[in-house]
Amino acid sequence: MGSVRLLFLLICLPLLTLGLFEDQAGSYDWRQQYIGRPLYTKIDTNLNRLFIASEQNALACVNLKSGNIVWRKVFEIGEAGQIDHVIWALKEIVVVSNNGQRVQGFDYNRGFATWEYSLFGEQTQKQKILSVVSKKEKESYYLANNKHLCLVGSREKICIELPTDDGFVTANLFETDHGVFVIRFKDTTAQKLQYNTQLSSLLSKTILNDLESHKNLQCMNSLDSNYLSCYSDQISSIFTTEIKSGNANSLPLTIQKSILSSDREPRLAWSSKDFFLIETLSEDDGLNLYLFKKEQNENDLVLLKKIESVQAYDQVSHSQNSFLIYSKYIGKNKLNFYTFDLKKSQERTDLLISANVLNSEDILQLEASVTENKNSQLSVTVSCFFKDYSLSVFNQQGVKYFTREEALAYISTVEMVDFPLLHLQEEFEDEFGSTKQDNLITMFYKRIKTQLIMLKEFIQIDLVQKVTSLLQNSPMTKKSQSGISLDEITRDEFNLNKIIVAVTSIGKVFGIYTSANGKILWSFYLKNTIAFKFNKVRDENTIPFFVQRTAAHVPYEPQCVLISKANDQNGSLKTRVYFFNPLTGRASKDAPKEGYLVDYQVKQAFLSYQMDSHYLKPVVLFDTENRIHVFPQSSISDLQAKSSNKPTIIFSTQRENDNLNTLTGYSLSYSNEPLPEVWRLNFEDEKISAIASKLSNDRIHSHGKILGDRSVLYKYLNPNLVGVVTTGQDSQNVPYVNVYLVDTVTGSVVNSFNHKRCKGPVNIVHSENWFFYSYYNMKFRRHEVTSVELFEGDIQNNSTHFSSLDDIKPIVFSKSYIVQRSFDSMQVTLTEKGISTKDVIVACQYGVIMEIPWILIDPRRPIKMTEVEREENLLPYMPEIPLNYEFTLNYYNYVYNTRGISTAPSGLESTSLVFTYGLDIFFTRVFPSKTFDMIREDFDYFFITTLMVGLVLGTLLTKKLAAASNLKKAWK
Amino acid sequence: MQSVQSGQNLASSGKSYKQRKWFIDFNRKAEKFHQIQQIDHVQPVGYTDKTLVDTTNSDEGNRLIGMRSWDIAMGPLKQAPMNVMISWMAGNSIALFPIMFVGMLLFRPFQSMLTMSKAFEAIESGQNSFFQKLVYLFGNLVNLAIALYKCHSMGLLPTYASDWLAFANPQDRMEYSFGGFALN
Repeated sequence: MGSVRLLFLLICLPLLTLGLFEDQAGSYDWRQQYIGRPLYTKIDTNLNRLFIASEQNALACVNLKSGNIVWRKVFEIGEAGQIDHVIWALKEIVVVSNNGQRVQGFDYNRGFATWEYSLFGEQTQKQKILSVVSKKEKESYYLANNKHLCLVGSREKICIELPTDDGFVTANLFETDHGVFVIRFKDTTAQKLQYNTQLSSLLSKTILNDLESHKNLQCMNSLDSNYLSCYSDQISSIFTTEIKSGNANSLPLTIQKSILSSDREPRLAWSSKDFFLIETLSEDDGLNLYLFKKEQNENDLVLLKKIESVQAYDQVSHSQNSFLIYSKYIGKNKLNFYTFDLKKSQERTDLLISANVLNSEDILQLEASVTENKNSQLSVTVSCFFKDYSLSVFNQQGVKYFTREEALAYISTVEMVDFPLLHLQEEFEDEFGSTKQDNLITMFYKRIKTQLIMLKEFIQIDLVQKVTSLLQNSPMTKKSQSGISLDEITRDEFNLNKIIVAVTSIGKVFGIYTSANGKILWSFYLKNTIAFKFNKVRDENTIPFFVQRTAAHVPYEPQCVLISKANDQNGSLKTRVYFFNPLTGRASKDAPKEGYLVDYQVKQAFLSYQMDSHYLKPVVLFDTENRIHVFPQSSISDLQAKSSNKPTIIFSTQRENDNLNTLTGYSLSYSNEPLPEVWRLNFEDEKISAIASKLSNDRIHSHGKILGDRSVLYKYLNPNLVGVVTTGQDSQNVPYVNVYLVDTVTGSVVNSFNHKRCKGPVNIVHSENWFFYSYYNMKFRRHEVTSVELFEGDIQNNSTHFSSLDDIKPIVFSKSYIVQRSFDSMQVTLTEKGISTKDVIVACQYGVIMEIPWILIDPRRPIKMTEVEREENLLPYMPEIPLNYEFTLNYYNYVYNTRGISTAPSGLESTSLVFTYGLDIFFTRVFPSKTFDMIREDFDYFFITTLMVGLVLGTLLTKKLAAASNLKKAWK
Repeated sequence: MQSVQSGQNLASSGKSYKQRKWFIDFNRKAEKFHQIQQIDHVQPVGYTDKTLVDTTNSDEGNRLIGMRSWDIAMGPLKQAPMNVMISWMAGNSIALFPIMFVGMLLFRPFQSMLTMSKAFEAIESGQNSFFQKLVYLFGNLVNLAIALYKCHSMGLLPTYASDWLAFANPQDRMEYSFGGFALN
């Protein structure tokens, strides 16, 4: 056994060289960190910091001036890390996460978690969490949900259960000198609970009679927190109740119906003892604000101010004063922030901010902060989160400090697009005669002309640039980093630099340059975009997006198509098909600028495998009524002409008995009729959780595996094979995972695997003739992976064609392995010709991206090694895959909550490009079979050149000497 | 003894020389006749009184030619056991020395087959020359076979299907399928 271990170690040693050298760090890889959409924001101008707790489970501190992340804490992916509530306390940040189960205190300076408690215990439903910073208990906080009330601080946690009267919903939480008060509602009953500050005893339990018999009350703490203000939409009145006594101050304060007129959904937004702010939606969905004041001894509220069509507002307190800060667009790109002093009820014109913004998007969230400078002058700082998910901070002078593109934390689909070969390419194309009239002489003339232009360009641009950079003694790269214009970028020698077109689920699309640390070359925002929901276990959003034509077909422009749901002006749901140029980000010339809006709902969208006469792969949409639509419509005739002979099947998941358990295949034909169903696969009480099909640009170089005795084991290369992962529970409620390999043309199950006592999330990839998937084994409490490989055998059934209808029974090899980590996402590397081995790129928990070499996960790793297998360089089977740190692609640049990985081939066979996206984005190159087609970076050019020159000189010299000595001999 | 040797030489080097061997100048002057008579008693170097039998006969020559040409013809065949020995000793690993050796092994039979006429040129074409050439060719072929077998055992010959795998074109799809999760 020991010797086997040693052998294994020895074999593994060469793999260690996969690691990266320190000086290579950052030379071709880059990472960008994001936060996501803020749930809670705090501006601290004294510290020069902006604190954000986001819906992407991140708590971050951003430099207010530069927008750089100072520190960031990322919680677990999914529900477990969801931030439910944040208290921006004086000295620490208190974060409630994981559905109220965990509370943590974080330090403002460095983001260290200073303390942590488990809070409310397991919840069945998401409940609202209320909080109050305690005035009496130092650095302690009261937190409550519907069932519990807790006093939490760094030193202790006291939790009590609220009296179990079913159905009560906690609405408000107060702390006064008399103790802690909980207001809760049940239908029309309002109850008040009073506890002492240490929560040791329930002092009183009363029913608030005044609030009785009013439905849907909206209650909030008034500013000085001794009053409860409740707004009733029914009678459009406001009740104010003194907390301690529980008595209503007076009769309900009514709002004249005429004031709110036809506005919808009034909501009490803020209240103090005498002032009330009501927020409504106007008829055209604009936001209106109404400020009311209570006059002495009057039952009717007086309207102080009505502010119409407000973008967003925030209310801030600053030393006894309260300000309402709201924003409005005046003109196209001009955004104004107004400040209204609530105490003096007047507009503060000195605090007006007027800013220029490039994108006139709506503001989703506005956070303001008022500070006093040395001359006791007030100034306002606002942070805006726009609808296109960009975050900006403006100061009092209207200067924008920074813009963060937080949409990049929401990437759903990615394609890497090649640059055109040369900017002179059009000339090139012309050179070979674009029109029929070109004869030999004109073509010769054109050729000479193009080459003269090339020479001129070379002298003008390349040489001049090189000489100037030499003279200035500055590296070339510096210049290109500062300002890249699209015209300057052409394909590099090995096609290593591409443009990453990333479509986000909110409808913003980015073109990111793979070099220059991921500079954003262009971006555009498609308004009213609604992403499709993916029927995965994790509720994932997706926007299908395809490259229809690459840059290789000059004079035609490259073109991408994007399919999403969209709301039209009337608010009805439609499907949008939008065409754009991936190199410039501009809408395609051949299609309407806003894309096509079509009425049907799309079930499947894919690119046709054939090009039309304009080198464009048409996109095929399959709607919910099983009809086919082709874009552009003009190319349908081309498709009809070409596709008559090869049958095409569309398969799609389907719900049956409210369970996503059916896979259905339809036979494609380009007609207006609904497609006929060909096959149906029902998994009964199992639920489909993942489907793995081959990447469309997956290249297969070899038909078989060469064994140690030099015979061939032919691969089962069924292009129509998919892996369907289903999850279910057996009769004892123990979960299991099933993997079915389904031929999607015939609908037959080629093979299946059952994993008992295992659960998801299952990640699965499929390439060539193998599948690789990961799951969690509950019995042994460990993460496992399984690789499956299919072979036809020693004889290939048909060496030129593959048909799913042929009766081939594949030989199946499979092996399971233990891994130390769970995987968030998985992808397989792609290379130009598919000669290099295909490694699996995985995103592990805790931010590590790893490249697992194929040799380690090979399902043919033998348990007992034979001579032939040793000859083939197979490793002996070991149950555990050692995930060495040398496999890590992103070294210390951890990326969190990775949702997807995209790979693309480069011009070099050895190199594959990898882009991961999630909360952070990361790009790198991988070399699955090492850099066999590249000279190493540390190649000694100087040595080789000197050697060569020396040898040549030596040869010449000895030749001369030999001639001289021969002559001398002859004279003797 | 010397004369026998020279006689043999004569036989091989043609008649013109024979005529000139005992060359007498009849254009001598009269007054020197006396001297000549004196010389008459002196015998030339290597002269014998005996009559020599012409030992050179054509059969013997042919025999020798035959022997020599068989020598040449059998040469490659004699090399074969040696080649077998060396190939066995060189082993089947792909390293510089075995590769060089195999290269030589492969190259030599071809070379000698191409230069066959040159090898037999020195010997005058006997009646067996065709047969000898055949044997020579056969010997070379044997050597070539050894070389090929060596290549084969080293795995340098594309004799397996695996050697042609890289040249196979990707299989054409007879059917296409697209799809996945339903979008909604």
